[in-house]
Formats: sequence, structure tokens, C-alpha cells
Amino acid sequence: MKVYAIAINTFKEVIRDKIFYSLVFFAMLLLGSSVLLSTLTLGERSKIIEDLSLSSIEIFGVIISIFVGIGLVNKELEKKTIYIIISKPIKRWQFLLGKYLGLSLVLLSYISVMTVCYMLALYMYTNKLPWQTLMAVLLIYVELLVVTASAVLFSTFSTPTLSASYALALYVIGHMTEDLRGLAAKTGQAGVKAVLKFVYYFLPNLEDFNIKARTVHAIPVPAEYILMSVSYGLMYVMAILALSVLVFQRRNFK
Amino acid sequence: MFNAQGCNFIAPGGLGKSHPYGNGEILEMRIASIFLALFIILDGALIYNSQKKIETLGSGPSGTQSLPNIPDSKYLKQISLGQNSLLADLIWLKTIQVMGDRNITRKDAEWIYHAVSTATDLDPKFYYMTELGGIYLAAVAGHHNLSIKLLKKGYENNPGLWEFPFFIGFNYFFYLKDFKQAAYYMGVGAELPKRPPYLPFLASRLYAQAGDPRYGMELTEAIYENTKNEKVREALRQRMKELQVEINLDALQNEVNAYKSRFGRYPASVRELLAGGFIKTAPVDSLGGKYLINPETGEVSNTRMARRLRIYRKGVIYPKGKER
Repeated sequence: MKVYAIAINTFKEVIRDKIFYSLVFFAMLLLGSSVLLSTLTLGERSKIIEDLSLSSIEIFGVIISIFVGIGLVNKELEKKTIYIIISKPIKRWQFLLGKYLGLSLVLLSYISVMTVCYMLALYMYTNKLPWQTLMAVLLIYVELLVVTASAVLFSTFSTPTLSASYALALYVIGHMTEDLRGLAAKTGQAGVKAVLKFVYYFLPNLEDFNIKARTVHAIPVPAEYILMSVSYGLMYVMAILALSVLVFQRRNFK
Repeated sequence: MFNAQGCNFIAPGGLGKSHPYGNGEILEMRIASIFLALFIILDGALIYNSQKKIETLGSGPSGTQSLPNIPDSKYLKQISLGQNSLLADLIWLKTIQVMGDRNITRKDAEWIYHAVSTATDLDPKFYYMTELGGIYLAAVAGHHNLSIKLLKKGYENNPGLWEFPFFIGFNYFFYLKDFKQAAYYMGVGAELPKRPPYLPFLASRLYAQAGDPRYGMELTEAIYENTKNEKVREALRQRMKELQVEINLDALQNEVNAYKSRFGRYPASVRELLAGGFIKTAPVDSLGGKYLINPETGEVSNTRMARRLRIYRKGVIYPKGKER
């Protein structure tokens, strides 16, 4: 119940934020420009609209996750409101979890609004409704949950600027871990191989959540793949949040 | 002038609003604002003019010259952060703008190939782009080898699509006049699902043209086995009969030529070939006609097949196996 109260409060706080609105505005702008860009192509326009829309949903989602995510804890510290909260009978993990869930709710509403706009734009210009791309949107949401969790983790022990850099770096690395596996397969030394493999499985593999191209081309994605990816993402989120709580509990507030 | 920190008093009268500046200062600020606004407008004009000047001096590359800027797909894949298909779209859009240029040189064609091939690597299932790029390279840019290379790449990525082997075959047939390769690729396409109904017939005709009606027969038999539609099967049966005639005609032609080299003249009929021991039995005509030999030219023909299985274009008939 306490977690719920903090989550709802965080949700309201973020929704009122100017940064959030400007980001949503730019995401919409990009989505609208996809319709314009698609007129430049030959052949099927829908592919351009779908690609650009899904990508902009993802990219702006990541920006919101990171830049709002790092502020969740820090704002409370900066405004000294954290003292009021932690003097109440609220456990620190409840506070952190509430904050995280609040932002997840914001992202859910962001992604829903964007998806509705995207589908509407597509239907208006191509008379098609590619339902299978909703699966790609679902996995984008799971990816955003992982990125948000990492932003929250970094913000529990670092300054906002550094946290944002860390979270952004993790997002970039998360899309490149496939290379680590390739490197591990190529190296001859057993020790190096073990280290590389460990790093590969330790870091989040964000490419798992990338089925955009497949759904745009209407190539069937097995339900098991989607289910496994969702559960992988949620388990990863739980691990990061557990780590965040561990760090946050040891933190002294000046 | 702008530092009004020190005079934090309310201006008497004037604007009717409380204001932290004195009257003289307000005037000063207004004049300064006008000057600043004028300066911004003038400077804007200067900026616009310099950009115009830079453009005439040839700043950024235009046309196909902008395409070499597209890095190799190997590197693009690494830095795309999961936005492969969007990158492919953007490269494609950029390429299309260049494709419309009037003068496409061989070098341009190579860069267009580079761009489309990179985009194909980024989004292998974007077959429409690969196909159009391939057709463009052959039909507009006249670079048939690159066209075939690109189409083969597309086929590797999308092995179920008949369009790729079809256009590869078309390149071999129409531009390179390599009927064997053309027949082979048309045959590959003819065995794929969703191919248009004419493709098997076109492929078998090409095989006959290339001097390999036996391959055409094998292909037609294979397709016949997998066809359920009775109308198509009937047409395929007819085609197999025609191919058999083609095979017989080729065999007879060989014997006629052998006859000529031994006796110095062409035989007048199939019977003469039999009498000479060139063939053991008279060929049975699957179409129910007769085989005739022109004693003047030695040309073998069939009474039921007025025109042989060849690709006919208006005004042009490709002689068998001679054009390469």
C-alpha cells in the first residue's frame, strides 16, 4: 500500500514534468515525420512509417527512462524532501520500489499513447493495421523497464550527470554484447573465454528485445521467444532493483 | 548598461507598473534593444549569404558522391544499437534520390550498389529494396554483373521468393545472352511456390533454346509432379510432349549432319537415315506428327510443331546457342 502511494505520487509528479512533455512532443514530431518521409520512398510506404515509428518510440522511451529515472531519487535529495519521507514509517525498499513503479506506469502510458498514434497514422495513410508489431512494442516496453531500473540503480550512489552517462553506456553496451559472445567463441585461451562469457551473461542483452524488423516484415516470432524475453527482462529488472535497494540502504543522507 | 542590480527601486509613474529601472535607463535599454535587433537581422543576412557562398564553392558532396559516405555494413551493424532496419530505410531513401539523376556513370552504379548492398545487409528481409536496386542497376545503370550480384544476395536472404531468380535469369537472357544460365535461374524460380504460372514454361523454353531440352524435360517433370491443378497439369503434359519433340529433333539433326559428312548430301527423309543405319528405329512423335528433313538445307522439322521452342521477340529470333 505504501509502495502504491509512492508510485501514484511519482506518476503524478512525472506527468506534470515539463521535460516529460517536451520529450513526448518530440517523439510525436518524429512519428509524424515518418509519414512525411515515407512519401520519398518507392513501393510500400508502411515499412518506413513502421520502422521510424517503432524506433522513435524506443529511442524517446530510453531518453525518458534515463533522464527521468536518474532524477527520481536525486530530486528528493536535492529538495531535501527525502528527510520527510524517510522519517515516516516507510522502508527504503518501499520508497525505491514505489519510485520505480511510478515511472514504469508513466512509461506505460507514454508507450500506449504513442502506439495508438502510430497505429492511427499507419491506418490513415496505408489502410493497414499491423497487429504483429504490437509484440515489438511490448518488448520495447520491457527494454525500457530494464533501462529505467539501471538508471535508478546508478542514481542511488552517483550524481545525476554520471548516472545518466552510466545508464546510457549500459544501454549502448546492452546492444553490443553479441560481440562479446563472438569474441569468446574466437579466443583460444580458456581463461579469457570464461571471463568474456561471464561478462556476456552478466550484462543485459538488450538485443533480445529487438524484434522490430521481424514484426515489420510480418515474420512470425514464436510465442515462446516473446514469453522468455519478457521473463528475462523482468528477472533482470528484479536483480537490478535488489542491488539498488542494497546500495540505497547503506546510503547516508547529508 | 544592463546591470541593473544596483538600482532596485520602483520607477515613478510612467508605465503604471512597478519597474526596477529608472526612466533614463529604460530609454537606454530600448535603444540598445533596437540596435541589437537590427544587428541580429543584419547578421542573419550575412550568415545566409555565407552559407550560399559555401554551397557554390562545393561544400558537401551531392548526388552519388554522397553515397560513399555510407560506412560498411559491418561497422554500421555494430553502432546501430538495434536500429538496423531504420538505418536501412534511411540509406534506401538517400539512394532513391540519387537514382533519379539523369546521368548515371559506371562509377555511380558502383556506389548505388554499395548503398543498396549495405542496406540489404542491415535489413535482409527488405526484399523490395534489393529487388528494385537489382532491376535498376541492370535496366538503368547498365551494370548487369552488379545487378546479378545484388539479386543473388537478395535471393540468399529470401530463398523463398521466385522474383530474385527470375530477374537474375532475365539479366542472363536479355542482357548477357547466356541462355544456359538464364534457363537455370528461371528453372530455380519455377520450382518456388507463388511463382507465376508461366515461369515453368518459360524455363523449359529457355532450356530448349540453350540446346538443353533434356534439362527442360527434367524440370518440367519435377514441376508436373508437384502440381495439383488439372489445367496446369494438362499444359505441362503438352509442354513435355513438345520438349520430347525438341529432344528428337536435336538427335535427328545430329544424325543428318553425320549422314551429310559421309555421303556428301542431306537425306531426304527419316527412312533414308534408317536405311543408312544412322538410327535404329524411327522416332515416335509424341505430338502425333511426322519428322521431315529438308534435302536442300538438311533442316529437321516436325509437322505438328510449326515453330520450335525458342524465345521470340518482335523482329528478332535468337538462333540457337549462337548468341553469347
